[in-house]
This record gives sequence, structure tokens and C-alpha cells, in this order.
Amino acid sequence: MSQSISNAALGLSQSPALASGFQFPSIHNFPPFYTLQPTASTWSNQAELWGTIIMRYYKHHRLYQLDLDDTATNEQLFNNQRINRKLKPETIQAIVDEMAKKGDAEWDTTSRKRRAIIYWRKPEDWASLISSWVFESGLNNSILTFYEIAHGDNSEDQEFYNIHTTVLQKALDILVKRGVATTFQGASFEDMGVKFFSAGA
Amino acid sequence: MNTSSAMDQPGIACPACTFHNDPFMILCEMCGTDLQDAQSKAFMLHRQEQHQRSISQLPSTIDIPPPSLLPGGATQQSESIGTKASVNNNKFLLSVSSLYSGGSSKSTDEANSVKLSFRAGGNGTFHSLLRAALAARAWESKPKPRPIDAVKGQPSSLHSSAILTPAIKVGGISGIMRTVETNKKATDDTLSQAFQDLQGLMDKAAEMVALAETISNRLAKSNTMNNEETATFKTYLLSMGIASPVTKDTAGAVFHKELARELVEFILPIVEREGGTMSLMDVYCVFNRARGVELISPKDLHTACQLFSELNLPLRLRKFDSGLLVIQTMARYSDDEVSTSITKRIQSLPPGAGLTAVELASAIQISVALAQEQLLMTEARGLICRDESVEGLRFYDNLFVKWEI
Repeated sequence: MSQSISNAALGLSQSPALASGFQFPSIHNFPPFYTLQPTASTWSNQAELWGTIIMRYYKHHRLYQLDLDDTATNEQLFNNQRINRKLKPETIQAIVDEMAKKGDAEWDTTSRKRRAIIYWRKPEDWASLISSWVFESGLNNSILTFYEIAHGDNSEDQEFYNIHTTVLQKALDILVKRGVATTFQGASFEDMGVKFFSAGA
Repeated sequence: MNTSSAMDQPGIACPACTFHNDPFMILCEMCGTDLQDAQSKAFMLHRQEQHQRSISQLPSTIDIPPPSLLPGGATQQSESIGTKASVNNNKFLLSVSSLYSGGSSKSTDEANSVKLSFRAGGNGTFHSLLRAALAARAWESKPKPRPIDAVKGQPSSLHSSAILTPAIKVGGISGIMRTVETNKKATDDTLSQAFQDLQGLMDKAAEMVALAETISNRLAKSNTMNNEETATFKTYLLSMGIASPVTKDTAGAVFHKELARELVEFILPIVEREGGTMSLMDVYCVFNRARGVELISPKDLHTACQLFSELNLPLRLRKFDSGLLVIQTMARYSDDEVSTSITKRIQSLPPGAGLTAVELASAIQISVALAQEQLLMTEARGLICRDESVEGLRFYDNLFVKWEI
């Protein structure tokens, strides 16, 4: 934990942990953290720090979608009442833009930069997680609905439980590309099916 | 006397307005002045005397030989000057009039007034030269015995003219014009006297600056005064003045170059004391204050500052991205040093505290605009970062680069 010592030496106080158990790093109490830095090098550092915090927060709370109109989440993440500072929506957009460049986020193209998926796990990683779960549970060679994967009784203890449909779709697309699975159209998104082939197929 | 000159001229030159009248005219065609009446002449003489009394020493300045003071000579002189200027067209007409006062035998030879009529311009140049000669008291430096002392000569002539005035009877428009003219002359006299005082003050300025320097040196030697007092006093001395400011008149075409040199000489110690940088507004104030009445325009200052590099002077004009103009000393205060010192200052603040331009300005005694520029420059180098809020713009140490997450 050498880094926390060096960070503490920079003189920012630590906020108490949230009720959910999430602990913001103390840079969250740094007033300039809430201003879009005009200097390019400073900004890239700042955006990276924000990206990391957003992904940690989303991972901790099992969140997938960042919505600029979702005030409840944003109030906690982007608004620091202790120091009376708040990220402007434009700044959040700029941060997500930076994240999207690195593949950590993706804008919902229909939302005009109001909603974005935060990839605190990359779609490839999700794909691997899902396929190993399918094979471990012996569910290969049978058709699973998307709903069963995301909300089924069998996956309740899995990390991808309640996974966002867009993320799930992305992960399954990757599996289809790898030749591990094939998808079937359904009446609705959740009725769509997926069949995993036997290992080695 | 004018009659004799009139013989040589194509007509009679009016003593009041110098218009060349037909030799047979009795009254001037232009102003209605009686061309022949003795009383009128006396009045004209009085007026000429009053108007041109300060020019009475002219012969010595333009070096007209003493005989020319006699009416005949004056005419010759005017002709010779005119011939020099142009063959057919007299450039100006010079007439010297004498006022005879019965008692004094010495003054009979003296000319009391000289009148110059400029027919083809050039009066401005002549006037400024004449003023300069008068101010320098050129006649005193010359060993000629001829010129009378202006101060001694005047009261008697004034006195005699005062006696003459009531005797003049000129009515109608000339009378009114005369009154107007007299009032105007009185105003002119008052004004020129007022400016003479100012001129005197400016002359004294050189001595005052020398005195200030002496006192300053003495202060430097003796440490009896406490430091703050000395510092304040020195500030007063410093802003006292520049002995002989460069002006457009004295420098002409090289005015801006000379101005730039004078500015650097004057402002360099001040800029160094201010930390190596001064905004152009501050420079303008300080410099103009030191120049006293010879003020310069902002444009002149700007032009002069732009010549710094061309003239190899140790200061530079610099324009910040925001448009703020400053002058800086060349090598000693680089951006590196400024940004390093600002970063150190910010890092030494209590944890989580930022620095505003106003705070920086008051801490290191520079203008707020300049402090702002220096902060922005340091920020652009990635050494500090900003916090924009309703409380204003604050700058913090750039923790983003150091932070490990």
C-alpha cells in the first residue's frame, strides 16, 4: 500500500466509505478534480483518474449503464457535497469520450451522448466468463435464453447476473465469432436463445 | 519713418496690418487705420510695442547689424531678406519702429518694437526659434554691447505707452477691434506667464532629480533610518522625474528609438524590483508620472517597446495569449523560473488550499492581470491545475500527475 501513503502525503482528507461499502479515493475531495483541465497533459491524467473511479464504482455496485439523466447515481459519483463541487454534464461526456477511446466505455448511439455502457470488464472477458460457466454447469448443447443467463436461478451467484442486455449481446456475439455458440432469434430480446457447442467443436 | 519705407515699396505698408496700400490712400484699405496721422501712428506704435515687446531684442538674435535699427536700415534689411527668400515675393516684411521719449537721450536710438509679417508662412518655425532664443537668453551670452536689458527697458516703455493710450482716438470698428485685441493680448500675457512658471518648474526638475539622487546616496550610506522608512522614501525619489524627457520636438524622426532608450534606462531598476515583469499599463503610469508634463501617448509607448529587440535593449515586450502586454527583463526571469516559484508557492500552502490570482498578486506585489497570466502559463506547463467554481478560479498543485490509483 505504498501508493496510499504517497497519496495521503499529498494532503487530501479521506471521505468516509459509502453505505454500500464503496470507498472513494481521496482525490475525490480535490476541488480541481471537478473542473475540466484545459492543459492537455493534465486533462488526460484527470480523465484517466475519473475513468478508474467510475469503473471501480460501477463494478462495486454492479452497474453497467451510465445515464446522464440518472440523478441518483450521478449525485453520489459526480457530486461531492463535502467540498461543494460537482462535475458538469459536459465534463462527464468528455470523460466518457476518453474512456471510449480506450474501450472502457461505449456511447449508446441512439442517446446522443446521454447514455453509455461502462465496460468495467471487457466484452471478451464477459464472453469467457459466460462460456466457462456454461461448460462448468453442463449447459452446453442445450438452448439457453438470454434471460436464463442474465437472470436465471442457475446464474444467481455469477458475476454476470443482471448483466446489461447490450453487454450480454456483445459477449455472445464474440462467442459466436469464436465458433463456440450460435444464437437464435426470439420474439423479444430476452426470448432470444443461445446454444453452446461441446468443447472442441 | 514708415513714409520713407513706403517710398521704396510699391505702396504704403499699413502699420497695423502691414497691408500694402496704394501710396495715395489715407486710410488703410484693410483695417481702416490712418496711414498718415501722427496720433494714429503713435497708437500703432504703442500696439506694436505691446504686442512685440518680447521681440525687442530680436536684432541681436537674428544678427541684424545695428544700423538696420534705424528706419531706413530696417527697410533695406527687409528687402535683403526678402530677396534671399524669393525674388519677387517677399517672404516676410520686417519693420522696426522707434518710440521717442523726450527726456532720455539714450533711448532715442533704440528700437522699441519690431514687427514681422509673414507673407508665405514660416511664422510657426520662426516663433519657436524665437521662443527658444528668448528662453535661453541668447543675447546675454553674446558679448555685444548693443542689446538693452529687457527687464530694465520694459517698464519705461510700458509707462510711456500707458501715457500715450488715452490720447488715441480711434472709433468705430477699429476701436472695437482694438479693445478686443487688447483683451486678447492681456489673456495671452497671462497665459504665457503661467507657462513660463511651468517652464521654470521643469528647469528646476533637473536640479531636483540631482538633489534626490544625492539624498538617495546619502541614505544608502547611513543606516540610521529604519528600513521601511527608507524604502518608502526611496520610492518617492524614484518617481520624482526624468531630467530632460525625450520629446517629438527634440528627437524628431528617431523619437521612438530615443524614447525606448530613455524608457529602458528609467524602468529597468523598477522592473527588476517588481520581479522582472510589469504590465504595460503600470509602465505607462510610472513612466508618464516621471516625465512630468511631457506626457506620451499609449501608442508611443507601445511603439517604443516594440523597438526593444531591434535596439538590443535588455527588456522585451511580451504579449500573453489573453492579449495582456507586459515588459520583462530578458534573461533573468524566464518562464521556467516563474513557473517553478509559483509551483513551490502553491505546494507550500496548507493541504487542499489553492491560490487565486489576487492572492498571488498581493503576495509577490505584481498586478492581478500579470499574476493571472503567470498562473495560466504555469498551468499550461502542467505544473498546477485549476478549480473553477462560484468562488472563482483557484489554482492547485497538479496532483493528477502524482496520483497513483
